[in-house]
Amino acid sequence: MKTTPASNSNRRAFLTRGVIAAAGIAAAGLTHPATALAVTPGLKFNDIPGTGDVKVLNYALALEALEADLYAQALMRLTNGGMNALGKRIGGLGLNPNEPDLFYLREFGVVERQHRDFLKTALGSASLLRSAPFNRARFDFAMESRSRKQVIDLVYLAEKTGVGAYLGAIKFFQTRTYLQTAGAIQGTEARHTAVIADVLRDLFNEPLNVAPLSNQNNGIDQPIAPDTVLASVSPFIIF
Amino acid sequence: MYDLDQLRRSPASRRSFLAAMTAAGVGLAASNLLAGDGLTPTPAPGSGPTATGVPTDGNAQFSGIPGRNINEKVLNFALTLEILEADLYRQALNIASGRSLATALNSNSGVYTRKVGSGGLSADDTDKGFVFLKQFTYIEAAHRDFLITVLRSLGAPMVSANPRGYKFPSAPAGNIASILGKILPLEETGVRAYLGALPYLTDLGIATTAGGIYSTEARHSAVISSTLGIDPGPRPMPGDQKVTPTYPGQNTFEYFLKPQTVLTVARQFFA
Repeated sequence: MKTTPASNSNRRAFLTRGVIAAAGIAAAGLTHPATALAVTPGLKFNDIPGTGDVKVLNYALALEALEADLYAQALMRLTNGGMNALGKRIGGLGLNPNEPDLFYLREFGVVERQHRDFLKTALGSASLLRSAPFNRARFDFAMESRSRKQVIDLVYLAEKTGVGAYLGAIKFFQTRTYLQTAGAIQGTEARHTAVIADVLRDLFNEPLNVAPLSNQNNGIDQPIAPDTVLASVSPFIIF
Repeated sequence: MYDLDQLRRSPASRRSFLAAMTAAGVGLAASNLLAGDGLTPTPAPGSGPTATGVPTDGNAQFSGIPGRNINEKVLNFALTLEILEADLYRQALNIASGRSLATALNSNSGVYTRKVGSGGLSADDTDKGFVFLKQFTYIEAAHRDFLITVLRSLGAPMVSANPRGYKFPSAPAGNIASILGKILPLEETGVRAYLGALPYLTDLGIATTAGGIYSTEARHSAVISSTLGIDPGPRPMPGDQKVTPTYPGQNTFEYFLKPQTVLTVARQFFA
């Protein structure tokens, strides 16, 4: 399962530079806006259908739909290729199925699809996937031109954003009814984020920490405001 | 001891490994837990405007925990666990670095170097496991100190550490695999404790912070698991409760425990 171990001294040095690196990856991920068709101006929380708790759940659904499709396209890219929902052909990199990144992407991709389907079913007729323009949303991650490392970087960024997005959404809940269910999803995003950070360090010597260190916000994950999250994912959304 | 390669390949071995860890680390009276407490899970979203997933048994669940209101009680509940976790991590790091158990956590993490064997892990996973152990020791201490600061700033009453200290119900052997195997149930219980306490919070700002601590416990649990060659989870443990009646896969959502159940678990680590 494990390949290309980093030397200890390298790893230790990397650990101390985690924050800088995470910021760098965020930037790298976002300097590949998909096409001119991407939703502009970027989505705002106000654009998410519904009010109160339904709006928050729809926001979560939007992110889960993006993540689920990201995993599907990432798996195409890492394996034998395929065609995304926009009809764009994605060439495959033909990785061995036992490579750790592919192994975990398969596992986590299923989970993200389950999150999406769970929220979609639970929201029923109030689901944003049933209302325009979201019902025709497609995702373009420029997957056809991403290297293996760039694929995993983007998945890492999406999961990490998911962790902060759920935290940032909590204060928009009108009631506490769905707090625990949302939390139960967010925790899995955190597990995924940590494992992918670990894989990126193993495979590509990326200087990532698996969790915030004690001197980074007291070792606590930080919320990201919905508008900030939506600004960062909008370049991948095509209406 | 478990063959880690075999664990990676064989679900049956993974199950027995997990069962052994649960027995050793959490050591619950499984019958108590498996009986459940008769509480219904949070209904799924969308079950209507009258849906109420908010528990009403706060007084019973946080019985014995100080606080002038439910938010302070949840914070003190969290502090109870973070004090315990931080101290057991300190002990585990002392074992892994060949120091006496009672040695206080050094303010300089650089003084800690690995002095124990792998316990069957690869060289890479052994090094990684020690790095995690060291990092997470300081992180749990930071969580503890942060909660103390928050409670102090609120002028809230505060729990104090168990005067007799804390202990692993059965001491880890002097190797990284064993040490991580004893730490993992603490983290996994921490995940379940926070998720179980979350819906009691009426202050959504505090819920945001508690959620931010909770997800780091999930991160720690995931990579300790993967370092030990087992699935990063979530994996069901004895007594686990679900946030919705049916999970599409066992790792789709996290699991939780009710606060009183967590406190029963925690008491097993009181010296």
